[in-house]
Amino acid sequence: MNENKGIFDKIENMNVRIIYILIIICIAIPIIRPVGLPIQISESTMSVYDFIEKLPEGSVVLVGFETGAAGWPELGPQLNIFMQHIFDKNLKPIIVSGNVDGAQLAEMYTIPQMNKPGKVYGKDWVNLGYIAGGESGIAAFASSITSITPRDYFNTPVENLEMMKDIKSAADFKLAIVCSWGTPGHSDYLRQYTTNFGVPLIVGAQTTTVPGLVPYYQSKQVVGYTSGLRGAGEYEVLTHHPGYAVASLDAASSYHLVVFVLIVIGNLAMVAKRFTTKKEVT
Amino acid sequence: MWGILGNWINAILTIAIISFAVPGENIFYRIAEYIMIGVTAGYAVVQGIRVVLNLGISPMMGGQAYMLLPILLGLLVYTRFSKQYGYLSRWPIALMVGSGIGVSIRAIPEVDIMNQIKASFLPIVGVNWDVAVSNIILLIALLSTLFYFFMTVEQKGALRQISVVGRYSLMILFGAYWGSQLMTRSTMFIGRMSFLIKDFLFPLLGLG
Repeated sequence: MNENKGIFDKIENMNVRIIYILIIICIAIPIIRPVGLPIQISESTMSVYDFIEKLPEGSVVLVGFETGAAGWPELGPQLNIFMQHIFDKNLKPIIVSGNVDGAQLAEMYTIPQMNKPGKVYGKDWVNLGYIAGGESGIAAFASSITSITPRDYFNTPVENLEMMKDIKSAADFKLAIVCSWGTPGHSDYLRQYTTNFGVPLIVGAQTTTVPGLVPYYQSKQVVGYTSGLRGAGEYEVLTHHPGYAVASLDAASSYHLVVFVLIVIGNLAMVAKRFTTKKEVT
Repeated sequence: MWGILGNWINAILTIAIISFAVPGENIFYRIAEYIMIGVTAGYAVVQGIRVVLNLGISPMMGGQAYMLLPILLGLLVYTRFSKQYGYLSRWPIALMVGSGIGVSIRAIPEVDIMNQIKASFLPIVGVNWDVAVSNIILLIALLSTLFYFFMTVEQKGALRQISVVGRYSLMILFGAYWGSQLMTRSTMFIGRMSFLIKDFLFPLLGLG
């Protein structure tokens, strides 16, 4: 009996480094040799796709790169595939960010990857850069774009950008997309763009924010959302641009399987230890 | 040349940060951490200066003299370094807090209360059985969770059971949050591993 208890104790107090190494191996193998597990499209991702598909050509879409470098592995693939879909549909994106590095990430990792033949900066898309002030900044931007961003990311006066000639406030946007890792996030966009100006909102969510986001989707305040890397993978499949997210989903599945097995083993050990302890007492 | 150098710096800093997991706290991890904090703070300062120049200084130099007022209010924040005049820093902060709350509170009743209540009126007849079951579960979870936080009546007997259902509903929510938290963290790690293997190691070994 005591031997069993010893095993359960060992499992419960397993050296955390063993878990780390196990996880590193389980993530590395599918990255080196992907298995290609099937990807099912969720209803919320389909809503996003359908909405963007139905937008008329030339519609102005606000895209909030509300992330920093640490959030990029999860939000970057979503932003990249949204932007590609926007360019494919000949929509006109306006990039903004309430995070200091969001607009730069767009220029470093999104725009260079886009397949956008014939598209010209200033005419087909603009990057208005950093919006300071959190939700207050967003509210000011929504009411009057030039009041808070008189110059774009490249320091060009906004009135010199051809695309911005007829765009004065959020009322001119046909859609807002936000991929956020905190504040400003979907709540701020919902309050300032959707409620105050009636702009439909799509959210590219970090998986950790999804439980808090679902009530807004169920109440139809958010058109649709994609959830983390999986959502990006689904969207890549839908738009026929399989890329980083699809390739990484095998590693994600492998990781989840390891964590699932460890949780089950840990709980079984805990129950078994209680059971053996009780028996010993009686 | 700069691309290769950037890749090396990227890889070394990534390995330094990950090294915390296996050998534990070490000097390489600390260096990488301090570099990150320094770069982030420096970048934020530069962006902040740019905002002040574009939204404050430039318009003021262009004749909009009233822009001096927000600049002065902003400068008052720095009085907190003085014992004698530190109280002045409360004024701009009070203004920021007040205007921030005012801006968001306008839409909160509609977004977080009215529309959520409207969305909880769900049909349980005339719909597929699975939708009906799902709607019933949602309604039970909603009412019992609200009741869990109802403190004006002592929760005992049947009322306590409703409260217990509310507690279990919350437990399920916390489980969902924890699961999604795991997924977010795993994605970050996968991103780094993917970079190390595909963008650093493979080209280095001539495999990519």
